Amino acid sequence: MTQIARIRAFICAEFAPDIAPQDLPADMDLIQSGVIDSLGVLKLVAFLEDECGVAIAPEELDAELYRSLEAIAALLASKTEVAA
Amino acid sequence: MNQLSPLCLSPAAFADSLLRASPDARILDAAARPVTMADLRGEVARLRALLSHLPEGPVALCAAKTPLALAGLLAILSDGRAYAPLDPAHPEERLTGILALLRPVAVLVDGPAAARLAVWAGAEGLPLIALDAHARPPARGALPAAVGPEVTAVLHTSGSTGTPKQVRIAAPALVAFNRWVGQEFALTPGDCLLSHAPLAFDLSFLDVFSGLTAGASLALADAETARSGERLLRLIDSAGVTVVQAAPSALALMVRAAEGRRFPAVRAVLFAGEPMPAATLQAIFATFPAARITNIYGCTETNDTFFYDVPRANTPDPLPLGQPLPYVRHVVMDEAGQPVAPGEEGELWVACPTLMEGYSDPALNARAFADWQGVRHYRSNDRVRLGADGLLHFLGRADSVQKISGHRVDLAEVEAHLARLPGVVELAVFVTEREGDRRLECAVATDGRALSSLDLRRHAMTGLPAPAIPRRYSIGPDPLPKNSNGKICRRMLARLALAL
Repeated sequence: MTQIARIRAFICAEFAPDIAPQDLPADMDLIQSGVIDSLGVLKLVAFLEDECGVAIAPEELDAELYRSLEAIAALLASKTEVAA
Repeated sequence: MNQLSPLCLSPAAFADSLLRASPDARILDAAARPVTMADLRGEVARLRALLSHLPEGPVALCAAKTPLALAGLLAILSDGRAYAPLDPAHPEERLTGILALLRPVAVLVDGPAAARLAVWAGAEGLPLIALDAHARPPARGALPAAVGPEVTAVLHTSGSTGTPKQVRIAAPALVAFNRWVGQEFALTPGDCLLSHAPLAFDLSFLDVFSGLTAGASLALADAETARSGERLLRLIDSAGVTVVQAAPSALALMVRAAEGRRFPAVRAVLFAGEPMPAATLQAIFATFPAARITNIYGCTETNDTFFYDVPRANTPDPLPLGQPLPYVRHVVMDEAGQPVAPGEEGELWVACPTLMEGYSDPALNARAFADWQGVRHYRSNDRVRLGADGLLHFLGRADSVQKISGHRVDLAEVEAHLARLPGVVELAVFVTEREGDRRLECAVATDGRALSSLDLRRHAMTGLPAPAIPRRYSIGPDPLPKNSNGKICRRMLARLALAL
């Protein structure tokens, strides 16, 4: 499973068990659609740190950065670029 | 049509007027087998003779809705007593709870109800009288009557706590209502009214009392028929029903079963009790192409107080409550008990001749009644607003506003928005609590098309703020669970959701 597929599976299992992961559109607004709320952002950040091995800085606890799967992928990409 | 003078409004005079108004009416059972009024009067006389030696006080009626049960109801009134209809579909505990509160002098029962109540009634010394009995039961010692002689109907509604509220209604309230229905909908002896609601539900006043007052025929749907769209349509067809009144969820059953069939003989469709989904309304237009479609608003305590004739084009959604009945006074109040400015939100207070005498519980009366300009008003607990169109609009129950993670969310508003998604037949939003975590959930019955929670969330996003979007969805083609009034039961849904 790719990293983004694992995140997708986590989001569906944790926040929207009724959505099949493959059905969750990459550009869907997760905040606006009520899938993730402020508490959900914290859970997601914990998942990203534990499972994807990235460090999220306190100033990155901004819901805007997690607004969609695409946004999360972009955030992860920026982290891995810095690491590389 | 209505010859009653205001002076003779005892239960007996009321029953007499109903029986005399309709010499040619027929009472049809759920299989459309007719009973003539002459036969019905015979049954009323027989049953009245079984009651006449009992001490003063109300008589309860617990039986499936048949012409014989209707004769039992009329016999109770005819003997000068209040009738208290109990829904045989209710759990035994609720029935005995109501009987313990009511303290009737007897209960008229059919076979199944007798079997369920026999042990409890035996222990209490309460006579059960079979609807097909010919011999008088032994009279019990006189108890102080819990309900005064001015009361004609005693209904029990579910309180929010689950304890039934006892609502006492006098004959003049019913007569005033019958007069309005008869005039507004031009009922004649040529009409046949579908009686869908259980006798224990106040919607039955219109079918049974207003129908008989106009000399019209009645088609009585029993509980089994009332749950089946196909059976209801068959009854409408074979009984020649011209006027249909039912809760929106019952109409949804009918129009789903219709599958393109049309019923042009139905000239009026009335609905009340819960919000009407737009998709169901469109299907009602198609199924009943010749009918006047009317949204009616009221409650057990006041009977109907507002109505709105639904236009077939440019139909508003949600539907407004509309305009007050001609005898209804109303005012929209703020929390301090002062009228709000026109167009502002507030609680609806109404005053009308159809107002109940009161609850059995003085504490409930203290909350329900309030004087305004020297007139006793009923506080509806419903939030409303006067629209720029001059019509009253429903915003939700006072208690439909819930706090969800710190945000104020109006469940009625969430439901109204979600129900607009094509494919939704029934929808309810409710709050569940797991380990202190309160969250919104949504249950949906679809018209068979494959709706996913993603569809619902996407639709929700178009009109609702994020905190108002339900977190969990259960979606399927099966109808949502109803209470016996035919209303979607949110408490049952929440219990089901927590059991998963």
